[in-house]
Amino acid sequence: MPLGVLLVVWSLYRLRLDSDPLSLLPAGLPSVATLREHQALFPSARELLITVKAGTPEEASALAEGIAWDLGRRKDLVESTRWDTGFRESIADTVAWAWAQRAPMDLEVLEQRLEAGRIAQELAACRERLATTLDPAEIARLAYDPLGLLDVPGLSGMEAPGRAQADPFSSSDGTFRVVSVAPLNPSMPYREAAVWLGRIRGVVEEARQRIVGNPDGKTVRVAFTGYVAIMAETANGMERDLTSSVTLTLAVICLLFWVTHRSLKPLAWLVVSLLLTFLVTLALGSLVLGELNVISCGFASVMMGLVVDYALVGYQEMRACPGRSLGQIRTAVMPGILWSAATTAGTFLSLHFAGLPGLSELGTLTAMGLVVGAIVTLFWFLPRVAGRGPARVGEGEGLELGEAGVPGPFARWLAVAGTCVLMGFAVGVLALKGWPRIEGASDPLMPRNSASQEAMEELRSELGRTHKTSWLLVRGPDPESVHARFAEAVPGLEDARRTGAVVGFQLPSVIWPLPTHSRTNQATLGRLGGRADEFRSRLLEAGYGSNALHLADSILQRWHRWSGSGEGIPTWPEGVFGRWVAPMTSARDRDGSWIGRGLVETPSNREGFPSLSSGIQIAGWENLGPELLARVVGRVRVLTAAIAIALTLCLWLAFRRWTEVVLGLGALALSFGLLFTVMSLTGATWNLLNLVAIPLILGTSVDSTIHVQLALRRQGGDLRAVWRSTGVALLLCAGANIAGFGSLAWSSNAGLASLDLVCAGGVVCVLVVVLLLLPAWWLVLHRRPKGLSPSPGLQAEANDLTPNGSSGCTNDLTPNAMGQSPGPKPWTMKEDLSPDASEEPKDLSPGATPIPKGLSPASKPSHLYGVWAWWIALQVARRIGRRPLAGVTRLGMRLYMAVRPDRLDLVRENLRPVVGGEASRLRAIAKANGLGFAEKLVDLWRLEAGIRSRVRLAPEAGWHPFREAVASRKGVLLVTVHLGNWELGGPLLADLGVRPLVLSAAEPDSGLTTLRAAARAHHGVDTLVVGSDPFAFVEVIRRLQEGGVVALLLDRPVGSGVESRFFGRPFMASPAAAELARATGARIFPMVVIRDAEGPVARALPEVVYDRSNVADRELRRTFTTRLLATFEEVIREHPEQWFQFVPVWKSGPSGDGVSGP
Amino acid sequence: MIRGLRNIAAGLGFSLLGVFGEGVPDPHESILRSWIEASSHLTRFEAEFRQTRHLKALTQPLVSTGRVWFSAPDQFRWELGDPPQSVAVRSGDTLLILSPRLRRAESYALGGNLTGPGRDLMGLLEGAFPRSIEDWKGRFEITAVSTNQGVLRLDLRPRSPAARKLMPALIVGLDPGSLGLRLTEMVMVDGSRIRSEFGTLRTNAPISPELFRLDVDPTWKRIRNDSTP
Repeated sequence: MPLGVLLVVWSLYRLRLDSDPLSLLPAGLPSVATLREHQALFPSARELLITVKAGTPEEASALAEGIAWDLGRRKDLVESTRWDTGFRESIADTVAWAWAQRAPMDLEVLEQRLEAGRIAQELAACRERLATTLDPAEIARLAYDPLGLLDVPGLSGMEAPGRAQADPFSSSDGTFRVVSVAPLNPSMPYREAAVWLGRIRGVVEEARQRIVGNPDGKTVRVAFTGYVAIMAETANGMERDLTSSVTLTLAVICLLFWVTHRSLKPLAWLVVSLLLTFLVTLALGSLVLGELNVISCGFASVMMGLVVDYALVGYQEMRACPGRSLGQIRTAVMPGILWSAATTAGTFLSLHFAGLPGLSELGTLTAMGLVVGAIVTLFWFLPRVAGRGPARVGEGEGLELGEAGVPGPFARWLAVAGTCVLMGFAVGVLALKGWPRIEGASDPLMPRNSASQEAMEELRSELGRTHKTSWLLVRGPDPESVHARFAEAVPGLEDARRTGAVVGFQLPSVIWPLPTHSRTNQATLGRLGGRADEFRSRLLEAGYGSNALHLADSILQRWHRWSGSGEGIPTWPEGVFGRWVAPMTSARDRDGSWIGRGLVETPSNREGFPSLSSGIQIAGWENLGPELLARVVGRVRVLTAAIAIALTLCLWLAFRRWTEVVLGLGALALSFGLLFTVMSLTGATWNLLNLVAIPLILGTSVDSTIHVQLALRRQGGDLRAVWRSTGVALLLCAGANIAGFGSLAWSSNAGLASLDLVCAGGVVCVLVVVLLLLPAWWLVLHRRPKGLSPSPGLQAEANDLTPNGSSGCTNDLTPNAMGQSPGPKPWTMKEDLSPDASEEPKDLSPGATPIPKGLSPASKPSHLYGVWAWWIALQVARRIGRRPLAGVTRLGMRLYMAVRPDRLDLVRENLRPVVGGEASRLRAIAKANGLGFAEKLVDLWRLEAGIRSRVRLAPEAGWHPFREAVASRKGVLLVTVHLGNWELGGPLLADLGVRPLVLSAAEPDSGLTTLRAAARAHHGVDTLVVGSDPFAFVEVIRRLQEGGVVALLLDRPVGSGVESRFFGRPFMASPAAAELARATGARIFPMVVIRDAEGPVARALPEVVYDRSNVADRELRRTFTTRLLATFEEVIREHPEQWFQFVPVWKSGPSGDGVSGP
Repeated sequence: MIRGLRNIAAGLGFSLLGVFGEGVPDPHESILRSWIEASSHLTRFEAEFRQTRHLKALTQPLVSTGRVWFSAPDQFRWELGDPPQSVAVRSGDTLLILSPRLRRAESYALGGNLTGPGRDLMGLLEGAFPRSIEDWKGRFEITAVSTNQGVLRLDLRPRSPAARKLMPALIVGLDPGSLGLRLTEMVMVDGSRIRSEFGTLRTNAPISPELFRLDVDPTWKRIRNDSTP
């Protein structure tokens, strides 16, 4: 225990929340991969952006500059700041560098234009143009750049077509400014980011006070956005969501519990259990998943809403059956809780296939939480509430069957009419308003009501970015190849612009380094730089003042320096602009390759990325939607179809009646129809995340339809009784579920909130249909002339599935349940022969046996015993060796024993008269018995798969008379018990030249019966499937009279058998052997096949010699049956671990009719 | 620097914009109303002018001559140079700027969703032909009124910060008697000044519609800005 606590604490300590929005997206999508790559390679993607909105450009500019200056000095917080591109300050650096990157031919043209003989003419033309041009930009350029050095070919391409605002730091009117801040630690976790952001806010506020000086801040607005701000806000918002939703869910659960039970201590333990479940799950999540995505934290409230059902089930059972021990209660509710946990967990695990990692984690955490919750409920909560509080008889278990709760025809048809009206309304609404729309945008992945998001929207609006923006990444081994790829992209982008797929684009081609050009141009630039004095004198002569010389001087000086000093031309422009533009447009990968970044703008009303030439990656948040949606819709379709098939199967297994299966599916269909109608009426839409609600609602709601219909069966259609038991329980569970889902409706994540709203709405719709309409449908389809009468058998069957598991107090686990079997009836082959004659492991699969109604779940056939499971087992047995198969089977058996401890209890009770009452020995032998059964199953599968195990013949005297009897052809009746590998006896007899007829009951399904009979026939063993056909008995007699060998089992109790004695206890044995002896006079040989250290060994016990007069009447046959059974007692005592009885064998408990043990 | 420099000459050629405007602080309200009233009777307008560009980058001013035609409500033609080196023609919602020597035509759609310099340019144009006093007052304010050498001088300031980035101040000279246009002078951000003095003013005389046609030689380079038809 302390170790567990330490482990939980340690896991919680190392718990880390991943707050990166990109982690919500499937990494496999190319555009997501590009986004990730972009974020990893370009530091600007992780910067904080501070926006300043002021009344005047001067005010905005002063404040932005002041903030940048103040923050730039805080080296403990900030790596660097920037509030403009620095282009004005660096124009000479940039233009000088840009010329160096041009094609050598462009430099030749420039040099020719500035030749000594032409320059005077050039300057005259320039002056004339200056005097007459109407273009303000041209005036400025010609006045300050008379040599035309700013006319760098292609440099105008820096402004994208259609982009009016190219300054990324200022709005066109200058009243809005942006300051970018590179954090000292761009990868800081969200809590640290929140603290960091707080300190940054402090510095900014000080700057604002100092520069603007209006404390009310009416004319100046400062906001924070960018990756750091959004990440910190998202993650901290999710943390708040988690706390508030858990609190709200707990409050609702407490309220529901209090309203229902009004008991404080169990309520306190319930809350502690839920919190314990939450902490353990979180710790497990930390251990298994490592870093958790913030969105997955939404699991907590969903899980609590579901896990509380288990506690309610256990507690309700306890109150309903106050006389039962903790063990009995646990045994009663454990299967239901564990199966429910397993199936619901399976549904949530299916979220893995939804294609969104955040939801996958949420599904995994919820699934883990459900399993943890089931365990905590069974082994922690129940022991603490056991025996607390008075039981309330009358909350379900004390219902009087057949009360006047069955509605009349009018009420039933009224409900059906209501259904029609509702369906008509739904169809009408959907026809008029249409189905809920599917949104393609990726908005649901982002936080809502977010200040940082609003700031980002304002930034986009102010900077004129009214279109969707995507990044365009181009990779190459060197700058030249990247530049070439940019050039290749341009025609495609231009085409896209013409067709409207692209509004504009910006490629850094004109400011991209081309080292090969630089090296070639160095000489030309040097020559031009060397003529600086000449150009100066020419300009002065032409009437230009010193102002007009400054730019040209600066550029020519740089060219001269680069060519003369040997330092060469830099890769990127010198100066402030160069330091900004280089990391904005380029990056180097780990392998040294170059990555260039461009920008593409697409229309805001157009979804998806434009198609570009290969080798160009494009990605952007705003255009991810369609790609993501296509992926999620595809996955959800498959998932929904798979879950629908699984649910149909579940419904069939639960009902075994197609009418009820159809009703269940119809209820789910109408529930979804209502959900769609409500969504359509309220304008709600499907999105990337809430689409996943469809399989989720299916998975978590199907049990409601099962519970209600089984309750209807159990209560004979008494709606009042159904409501008081199942209805109330369903309402409580649904209330908790709705609280769990609904509490996240206020989540700061829009997608998560919509997912949970749809889930909660879906549960409400299911509840309305299942509680109000489904019973009416059921009653219409199950009308009987005199009303329905509840069936005890059906009640027992339904008790297993009732959500609270308590109605009727599942006393089917007690041996007295045997007493609920039908009373004595005339003997038939089915009743007397089939269970005993069966050679199969009916213990776990007694589906074909005539189980008396009302037997416990342990006495029913295992759901695993079916044709498909058996066929798969045979296939596996055929392909792998015995040892691995045995290992797996033993492991499976251990799990089975853990899940179904009631089976183990039952085995102990069966063995008590055989091995005595010492508890520890009983436990040990019972466990060994279970594992021995696994070995037996392996031998049986291998046998039926065609692989024979060698069976040794024990050196006993009984073999000789047996051979003699067979040879005499007077009929031989082989009797045996469920000891060891009795199935191996058939093929052994075939080896001895005997073709035996084995009497077998029908299997749970006809396919399995056929499969197993064919397997026996393969080994030379005939099978006679006995049932209610009375002529089967005739066939057995005929076979014996013809001298054949017939084999049957003796030790399975039969409700209508003869009361014999076995191990000194009353035992309802089949009289079949005695009857056949009377009818045929066949010789009777007891035989067993047990497993010792060397493998299976067949033992022939002494022949049971009799006279036919000894079996002439019923009493004699009872005595004779006792004698037959007694021949096996010694060998069973020798090998109790191989006596495989998994149904109650004693008439009324291990001590019989008050008879003391031996 | 480029951005700062190019702002110097913003609005060049559109010095008429203040001439037909109106608006103002209260002390000058009566002058403004009189000016608007006088302008409202002006349906056609034709004048020759002499433009002097005092550019900070040049030691000597640049002088050129030109002509201007206006026809209410939305047509005008502006020619600069002899022979014309630059021509601006507005007709309806289209503005065409022609550079004959460069064989280049730039067209702008007025009333469209223009942004940046194009939007500023069009805003100034619309300000030159106000429909009401409120329109004009939304664009300009009168900072000073004086009389000098027989000319009524109005010192104007654009209200829009973006417009002020191009042209911090505008001076309009009116005839004190008729309130007819005598001169305009734009003051640019670097201190450069562009002064246009009008002479041979003809009002409400017939103007050939051919002057406002937007035909462009198909062999010229045509540059469309935004949603230009």
